[in-house]
Amino acid sequence: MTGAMLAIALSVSLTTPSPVTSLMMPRNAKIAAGLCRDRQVRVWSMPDAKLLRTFAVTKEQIALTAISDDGRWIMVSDYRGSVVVYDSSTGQPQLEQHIDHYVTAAAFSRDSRLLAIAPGNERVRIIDVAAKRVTELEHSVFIGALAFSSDGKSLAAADGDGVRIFDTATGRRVSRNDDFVMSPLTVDFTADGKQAIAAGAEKVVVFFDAASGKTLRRAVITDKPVFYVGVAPDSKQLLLATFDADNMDLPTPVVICEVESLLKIVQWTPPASVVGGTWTPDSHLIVATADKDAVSLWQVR
Amino acid sequence: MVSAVDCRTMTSALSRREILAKCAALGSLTVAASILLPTVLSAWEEKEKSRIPTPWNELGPFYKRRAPRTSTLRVSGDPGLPLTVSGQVFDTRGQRVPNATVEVWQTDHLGHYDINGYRYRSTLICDDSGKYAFDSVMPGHYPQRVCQHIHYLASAEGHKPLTTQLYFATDPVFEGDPDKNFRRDPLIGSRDLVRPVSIGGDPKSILASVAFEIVLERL
Repeated sequence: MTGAMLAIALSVSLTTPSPVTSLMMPRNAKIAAGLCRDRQVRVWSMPDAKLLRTFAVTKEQIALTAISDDGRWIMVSDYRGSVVVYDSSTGQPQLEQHIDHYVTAAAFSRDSRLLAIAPGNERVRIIDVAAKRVTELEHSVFIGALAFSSDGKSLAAADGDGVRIFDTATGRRVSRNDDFVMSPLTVDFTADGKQAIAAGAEKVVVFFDAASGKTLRRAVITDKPVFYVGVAPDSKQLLLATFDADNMDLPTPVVICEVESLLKIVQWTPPASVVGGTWTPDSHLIVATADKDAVSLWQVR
Repeated sequence: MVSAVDCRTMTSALSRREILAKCAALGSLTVAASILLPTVLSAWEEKEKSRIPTPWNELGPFYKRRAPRTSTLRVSGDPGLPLTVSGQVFDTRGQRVPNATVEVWQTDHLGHYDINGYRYRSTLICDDSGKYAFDSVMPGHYPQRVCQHIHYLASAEGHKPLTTQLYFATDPVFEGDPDKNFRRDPLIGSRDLVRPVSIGGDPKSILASVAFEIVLERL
């Protein structure tokens, strides 16, 4: 099925004086926060696209950004090892950390309370953002992706060999799946937290039991490498965002398939490369693309 | 009269430990009374041999397990600048790490990774003295990454695994001055990862070579 056959609509356009390199959208879809080339974060209210505030972040090159599901916290990390969590309602820093290297993966818990970061070749840290308390996970290096389960009790960490599931309270490893040849680049949980789903450059999507690590299904859903998998809140749809291994700037298909049957519901190639997106609470997918003057938000499903 | 050359010959006849022991005996080296001289000499030697761990660099998205055990990544007729990379694996105490595993992967000369097969990917097993070497081509540039590089994943029993990347001082991005410009690629956190390139062979068949020593931390 192609995008032309589906109701893919340009829903909102966000104008900006500086190009957006990364658009952060929380799952509540009430704001959008764009990291811009001028090292400013611009926060818009949604869906009216009104610019609420602008605040400056690090002058160094940005390594990674993330936003909590409630939209309150915005994490910005740079290649010099600075990690700052800002309060999106004020633009003020809530938490600052400095690490020896830089963050290679980050994720907020669904309740927006916890932030997990993978600091280079050090162990993954889980930070209680409000209490500023830190827990380290055992045996967790070379991490390329992190994801919390819906209840926040488990954290999936994708590394060079596969995916490990950790208990967030103790930091101990619960299970491991290494059913990959190439390192997985993305991971998510099903809504009930019982299964984890991971994929990467080898194009295979692996579903496995989070408690035991046992592979349940392996499937090739797209012929492109996958850099993002995300399960919709209804747990019935799975998003696969793909990339071109030879030129990651090229727009490549966004695919939605049914979790149960793995049949493709949508395959749509956006007009420009994707800079962000989110599932909304009612399981619609918003995808953001950018040009130098504006960010376009597309309702894909 | 003793010439400078003779002086060097004389000193090299003594071990470092013997020199230090002589210094202590003659009063050139003062050791606290609470510490035994042999203990001090061992610690001194350890410090002198110690090495800084090779800086970490991220794994990247294209690591692939089970690469073939071959030192020949470049096959006859491959386009690009022929490149030989060699090195040795040490621990932070300066001791060689025998039989370490060094996995390497890189793009071809045009900046393309082989994600379907194993071109320009290898699993190297170091020899008894920790040495490794492989023949390849100078990797190309590609979008999203500023500099040419070769990925490394080094591991050995009793040591912390290391992911890192090797960069080339001749990379045009550095404009001939890697000391000043190495941070043009934000992923290069340490100048130590940018290595000099030697060019050999003859004008019709030149060959670039690079030495890259790896220092692993003990567990």
